[in-house]
Amino acid sequence: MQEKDLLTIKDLDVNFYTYEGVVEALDHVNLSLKDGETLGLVGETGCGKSVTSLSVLVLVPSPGKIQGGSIVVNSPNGQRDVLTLDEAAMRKIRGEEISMIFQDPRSALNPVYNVEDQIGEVFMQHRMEELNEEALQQIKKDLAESNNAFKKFFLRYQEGIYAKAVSNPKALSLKVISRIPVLNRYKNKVKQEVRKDVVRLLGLMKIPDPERVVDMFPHELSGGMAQRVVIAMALSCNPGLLIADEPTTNLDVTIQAQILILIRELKEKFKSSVLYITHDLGVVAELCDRVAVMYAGNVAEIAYVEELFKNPLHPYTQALLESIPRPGKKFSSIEGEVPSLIKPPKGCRFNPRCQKATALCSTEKPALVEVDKDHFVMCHLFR
Amino acid sequence: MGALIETLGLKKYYAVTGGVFRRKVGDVKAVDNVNLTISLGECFGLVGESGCGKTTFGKTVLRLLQPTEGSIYFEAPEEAMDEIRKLEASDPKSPQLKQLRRQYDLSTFKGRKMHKTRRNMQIVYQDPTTSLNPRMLVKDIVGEPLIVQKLAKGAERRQRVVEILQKVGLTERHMYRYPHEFSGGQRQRISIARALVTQPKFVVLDEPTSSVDVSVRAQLLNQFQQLQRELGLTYLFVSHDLSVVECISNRVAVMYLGKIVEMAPTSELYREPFHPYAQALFSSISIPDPTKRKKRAPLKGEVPSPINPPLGCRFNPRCEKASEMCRREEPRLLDVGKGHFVACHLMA
Amino acid sequence: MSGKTWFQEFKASIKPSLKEMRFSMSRLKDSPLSIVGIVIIIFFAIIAVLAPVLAPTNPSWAVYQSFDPFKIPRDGYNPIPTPPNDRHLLGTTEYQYDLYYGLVWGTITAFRVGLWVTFTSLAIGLLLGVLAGYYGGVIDEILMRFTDVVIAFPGLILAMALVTALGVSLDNVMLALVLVGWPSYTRVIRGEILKTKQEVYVEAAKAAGCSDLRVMLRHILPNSIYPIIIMASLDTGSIVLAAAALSFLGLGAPPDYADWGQLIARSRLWIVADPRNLLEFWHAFVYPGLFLFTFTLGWNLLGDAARDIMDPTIRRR
Repeated sequence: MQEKDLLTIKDLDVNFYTYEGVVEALDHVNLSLKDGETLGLVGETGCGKSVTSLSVLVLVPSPGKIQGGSIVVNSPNGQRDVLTLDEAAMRKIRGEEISMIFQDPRSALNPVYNVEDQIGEVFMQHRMEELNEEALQQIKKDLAESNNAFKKFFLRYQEGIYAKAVSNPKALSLKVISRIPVLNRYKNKVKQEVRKDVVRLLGLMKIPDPERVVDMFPHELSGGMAQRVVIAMALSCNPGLLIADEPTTNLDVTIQAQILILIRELKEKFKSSVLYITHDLGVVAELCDRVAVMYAGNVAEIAYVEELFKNPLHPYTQALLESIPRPGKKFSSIEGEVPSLIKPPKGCRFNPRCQKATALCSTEKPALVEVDKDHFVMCHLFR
Repeated sequence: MGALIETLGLKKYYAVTGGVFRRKVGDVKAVDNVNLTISLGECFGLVGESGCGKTTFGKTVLRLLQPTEGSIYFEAPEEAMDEIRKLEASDPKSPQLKQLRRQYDLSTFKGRKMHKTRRNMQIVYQDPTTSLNPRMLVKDIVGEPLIVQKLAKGAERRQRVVEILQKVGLTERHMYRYPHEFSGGQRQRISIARALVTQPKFVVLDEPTSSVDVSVRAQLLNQFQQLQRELGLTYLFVSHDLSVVECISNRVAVMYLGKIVEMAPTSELYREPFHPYAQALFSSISIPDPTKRKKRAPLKGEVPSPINPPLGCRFNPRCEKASEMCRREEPRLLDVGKGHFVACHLMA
Repeated sequence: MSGKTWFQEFKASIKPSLKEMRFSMSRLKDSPLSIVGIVIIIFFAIIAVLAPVLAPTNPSWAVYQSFDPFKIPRDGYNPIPTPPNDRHLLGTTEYQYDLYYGLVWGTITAFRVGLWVTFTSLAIGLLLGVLAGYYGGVIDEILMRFTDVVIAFPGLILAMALVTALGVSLDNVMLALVLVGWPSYTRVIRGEILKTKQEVYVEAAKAAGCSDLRVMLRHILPNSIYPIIIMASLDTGSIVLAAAALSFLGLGAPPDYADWGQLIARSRLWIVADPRNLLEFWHAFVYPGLFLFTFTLGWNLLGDAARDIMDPTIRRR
């Protein structure tokens, strides 16, 4: 692992314990993501790309369990193996250092809260101290400017509370006052600050008329807008890594084009790295710097995107690129079906469908080797 | 080859009710005055984004939805169609027209007649998970159209079910299972088998490859082409996936907000789209080739609501080349040669 | 492929459903309370089936002979209940009616009341709910408003009024409970049908040309029936409880009838006895109460078990 790697996944094993048997969803997955790059994670349904991304955030749903391996994140707070952290530490990482956007924007948003509340929630969860300080500054400014005695009284009261909040966030008195109905109006100050930040963020997302959108509810938003709001939520705390799980699959083609350009721009502006999961090779060619191809819980090939499309080495990657429909050409598809992962094929998991399979392929599992510079393949044809 | 389906002035509006007494306050103009001809044996592609009305159009042609206005002529011979078109233009109320319509126009069919016609037109849905009854065995799902249309009984029915399943690449063993025991691609095949078991002439394919993986997509497309050849089918292929439509269709029409904005043979259209919306649509496709990354400006704005479509040309708020006339007057479909039709004032 | 015989065909068609059932059973194993519920119901069912064996009619000490097994034999005319002794396993209640006999034969009554009322309410609810849900429009409006009116009445009070009007008897109690209970089934079924009507496979069936009746029976009903089953099993327990309440108020079975509610009614005057020995006659109300409580609990747990195995959202984990 190099110094500049933001994320390193090593030998990740994830199993799902279901009625029908143990599904070996991920089998010794090895991946790394460099700082500032966009890594595309490509594969078909059931290959394990979503599970991989959920593992990074330790959010694998039951009956899944992470069996082994390590996921090392290189953050400003140092290098840490995410799988060894407890829930409280993980909660600090989620949203702040690593955040995730999902496929269906409308179901990623809570239908009973408006946009301001939802994005604001992320702010308040992670940036409480800064918000308190900003509020305090604002109050001091207002105090200096105001002449009204009533107002001054109010402001002094709020000042007191915020000063306490800044110095000792966990004070008991704060907890008590925040629960009393009229006295806890001081929170509105923070909410105002949050609203300003949210509007600014929406503007960065190129949402037209953010002042109006801020008060809207998810069902009033179109698909593209909703996805932008979700992206805003994810980027609100400037995470180092953004995981995008098929964010444009459910959107129209023209909206998809808009969102892809947006993600590219935001990556520059926010200086984050992106782990982009998709099954659409066109999007990968459009957006990603490097690509990892997954099949049945293994990483089959990793390479820079031009290299992958020009010179695919793994038979699965080759077949995948072949099967993209092209006019005039007959459709070529891959023989057979994706295997069930309850009793996965022995050896290389692709061997039953592989045209170039040898006897070795069905007995021994190949290792991920570097064939060319930065071009890794997991196949016995390359040793 | 004659036309299998010809729609004239087809409209499908949904009433929007509001107020205390639920009065009609407007219409969702899902399909607005569409004239389309699908020839026998061809695969006609219909593309557009969500909300443009392509799925509604497909379902209305099959009479799964009641057309608000307009006609759908099914299997009308060439002479009859000429006659109809003449009468529509000159004397819409003539009794002769009425009689012809009763004979060929699907929108006038009722009861028994409609029921019998259904065996000739079928649909394959987008999502195989929800379009198959989860509590029915595959053999019952595929056999049901035969029962309902009274086409075969007992052993003969069973035989036909087995045959059609084999044609789509499944085996007899698969008959005795529930849909959830299959993968997405296989479920879609079951869906196809159900559509084809009555040996229809016309099949509407409503985004049949959108819910499946890339490799399965190729398998299904091969299947569609093969079945078309073997069984002499005519397809209406509705999709938002432009690359798939390019590979399988003979002719393509682009829809926007309930209207057809451009229609042409496939190679013609993909080579050079004329309508600004079609151009934007085609340039939005992500090409799986990293060397061809273009820094294109994406289409601005969102698709407007079909309840209050913009006046004049419906695309004008988002169109960079919009002129004053575009905001006032709705353009008609004009023939620009080589079977290429465009609805845009810039083409006049 | 040669055609199969009828039997082979049948066997092949059943196999997948059996597989599903086995899956359901395994889900049950995960939930101990469900198993408790099933055990309780089986326990009561055994008592009900073996009633003639467990509590033979016309025992030697009975004061008068009767040919109706549901009339509890009495051992004298003393109004004060006697505690459990050799002759009476669980003691007797007021006027010397044998508790043990009453409880055993009362089990049959409980099952009869619970199941009959539930099934009849379900049948009516199904019919009306299907009409309202499938056809919608005016029919739906009329039926729903009518349902709303009936629901607006407080259940037990309405039942009381109906029984008083029709005449006091257990059969009229059952009838009254049906008349009070059908609206909730109607509503639930209608809701489920409205939801299932939107499914794509229903439209696909219509595209193939299925008639309304076929769509309803083959496609909509089998997929919307599960909440009803859950509701029905939860209801059975509360129906028995409601019938017992009405009997307690004197509006149910006649005084010597083998019915748990009636037995509790008999103990009304003896709940609090002489201040020196307050709970002297505890057996008169505790035993029937215990039976009633356990029976209702069993059905509730059974309903929960049904929901656990049938709810599609948590089924396939």
